[in-house]
Amino acid sequence: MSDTTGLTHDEILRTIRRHTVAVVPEIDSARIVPERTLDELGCNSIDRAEILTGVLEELDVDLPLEKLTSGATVEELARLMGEHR
Amino acid sequence: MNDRPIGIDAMNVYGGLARIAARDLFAGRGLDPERFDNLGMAARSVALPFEDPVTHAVNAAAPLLAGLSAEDRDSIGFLITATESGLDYSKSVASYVHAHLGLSPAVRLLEAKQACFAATAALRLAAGYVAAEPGAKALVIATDVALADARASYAEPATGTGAVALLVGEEPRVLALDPGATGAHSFEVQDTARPTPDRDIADVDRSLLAYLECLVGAYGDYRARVPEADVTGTFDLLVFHTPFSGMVKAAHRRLMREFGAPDGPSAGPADRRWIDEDFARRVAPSLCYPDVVGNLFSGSLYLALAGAIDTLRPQGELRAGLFSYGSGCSSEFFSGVVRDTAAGTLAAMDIAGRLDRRADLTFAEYEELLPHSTSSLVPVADRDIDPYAWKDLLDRVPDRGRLLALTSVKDHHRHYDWIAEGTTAR
Repeated sequence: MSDTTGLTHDEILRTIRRHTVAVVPEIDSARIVPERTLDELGCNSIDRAEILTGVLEELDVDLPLEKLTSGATVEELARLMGEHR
Repeated sequence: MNDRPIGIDAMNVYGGLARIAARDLFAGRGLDPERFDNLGMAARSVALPFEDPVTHAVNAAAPLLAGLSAEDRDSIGFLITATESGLDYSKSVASYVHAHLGLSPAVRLLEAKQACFAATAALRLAAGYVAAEPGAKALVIATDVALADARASYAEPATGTGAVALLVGEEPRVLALDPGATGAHSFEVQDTARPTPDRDIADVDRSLLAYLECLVGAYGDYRARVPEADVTGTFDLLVFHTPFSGMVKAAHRRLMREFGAPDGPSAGPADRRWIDEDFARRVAPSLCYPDVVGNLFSGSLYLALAGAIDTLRPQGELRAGLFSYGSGCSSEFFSGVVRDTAAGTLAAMDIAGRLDRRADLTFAEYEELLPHSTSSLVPVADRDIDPYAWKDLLDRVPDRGRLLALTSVKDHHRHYDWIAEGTTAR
């Protein structure tokens, strides 16, 4: 795997899942499917901010905040992060 | 340059004359009660129709200056108002404030703007001025009037009004800034803005993300400059810009997960318990005033600092880490020593007592007052305001002391008068 572009979409999804459960331990990780938004999973705006900054830092993604909108699904978030890595 | 400590020598908070309980506001607006705890607010301060950024600033600074000798007062050579509620494109709020505080004419005036970060930038400027002019003092006043109404949704109950005055000098009695111990992080983002005098725009998700990104960036820069710093052990107290308590809780967790927790971002429930205990010990004392005033814009960090000092009443010195964030965005993490004289210096201002004595508004009274806040910020050539029309409300605030009030605008020039206690009857 290349160290700059090799992270797969599935690995990004796994990272989002892990941070979501770390921030909101009450969420069953099996419910975190790509079609859902974090809002639908029960994450409030503060939870969402914590999850996303955590993932962005860990993956070293430089994503302009203008690109992030509150209605994005987990799948869309993962794709955005993949594009900006 | 001199090597004497520089920092906040004295400070005072003006949190308005009236408040509405957050629960009453939730009920009045039909906001979801399940989100109440997340917000962590008890009340918001509300401006009266004769209040504006000038009166807030003067009403915060006047009691502080009253305690100074004539010599100390005349040593104030720089007055900076920090506000996102500016009244004119050219003329500063500071010019009016200077007139009504009776400061020496041998003073520089400036208005600073960078959303909720402006007061910290002003404190930096003031500290630099004091370092360059031995014996001189500077006065920094963060002052704002909120526009938040029903359009602001859940931000409405969390948005305050008022001012915080900081006297900056050598041998400070409240907070000695650690020289060189500071980190910054800024970038352009459209998270919140006030494009016209009567309109706030905000993207809540983007703003929370920008705040957290800045916290990590600014603390990272701080640690690069202060390599021996350890976020879990260096600071006895952590004080954050406080738009609402829930945000501060998230910020603390983020800081601990990134720089402090042993297991990093993937840590489990045990880690979370440790972080919660740390929050209760080092952060929660700073939330008591923000919880009953609301977000005081660039004064918010210093409102939180005052709350921590008044709550803990430290007998010895405490090292504090402070984080200031302003939308748009600019931020700084810096540290200083809360002096053993801080509690006594702040107690003389009776901040808790004055916040406690604010008049409680019903939702109907609140809705009647709200449009006047906007009116105080929108430029008009001529206008008359009669403070005594609000006598019934004023009379509900005991021991309110002498207050400055906006009484008229003539050809765009604002005019103010003092309302002495007990003179509301005409």
